[in-house]
Amino acid sequence: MAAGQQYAKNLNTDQSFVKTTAIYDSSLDEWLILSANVVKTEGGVFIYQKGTDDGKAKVSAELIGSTLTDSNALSVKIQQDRKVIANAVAFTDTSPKTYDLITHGLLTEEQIRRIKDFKISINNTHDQPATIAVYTAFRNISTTVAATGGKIYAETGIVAATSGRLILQSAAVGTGADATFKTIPALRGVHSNIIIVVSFAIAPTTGSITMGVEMNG
Amino acid sequence: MDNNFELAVNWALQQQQYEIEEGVFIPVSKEMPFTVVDKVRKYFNINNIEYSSFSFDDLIPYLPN
Repeated sequence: MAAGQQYAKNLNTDQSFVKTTAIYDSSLDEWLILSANVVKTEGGVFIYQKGTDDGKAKVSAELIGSTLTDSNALSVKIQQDRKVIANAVAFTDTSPKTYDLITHGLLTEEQIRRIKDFKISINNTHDQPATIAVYTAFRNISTTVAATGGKIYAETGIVAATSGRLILQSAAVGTGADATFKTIPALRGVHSNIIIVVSFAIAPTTGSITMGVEMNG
Repeated sequence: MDNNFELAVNWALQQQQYEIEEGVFIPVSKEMPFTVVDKVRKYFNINNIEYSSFSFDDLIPYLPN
């Protein structure tokens, strides 16, 4: 006897001849046997499960929850980007030059604050080593002026001449890493801007410097 | 100076190779801006043309499409 068929007092077993309980369906005004393919909901409603001819259960599902609004989507969006903030700049004197993610990377401070980690890559082909200083914006005063920011890294002549390369990142490098990596833990954190100041002790006569910032939020 | 930039960019793009490290050569191309800028600077130096700091962005108007 299949689930849903009329209950017979002497025949209350299911198709596998397993004794089952029965329920009274007032809408049908009859007793129905309750077998494994009838389930009871939290609200006390009995649901008859359907099957398909190939023996699989037929399942219907309802999605619940709220609609994701644009503002929600923005807050959960994972940001990642790469900006070139110094595009092959040929220095001809010793005066420091400032590059930052707002002025040269064309990001807003709100966008920058959403980013959790920064990696700065510097490629120097000048005939002189480059001195690098990195600042985080002191938001209460200015977001683009290095002199009003907080210095998080500085090293004289750190990027070698001719084909010098340097990566500044928050993660530590492992055994055997070369001198092209420097770890600045503060690059992982909240910033309203990252400002980089480049200078040379002796005016370069050849070459250029390129700086890019990779970001992940 | 505009004319010098134009001549320098044309000369730079005619250079086949850029020595990125000793004995390691890469093509000069606008996809690698420093190769063009450095060659432009070389043109200025060879021809004794005075110039101030510039970047690849300053050369974009003189690049062929």
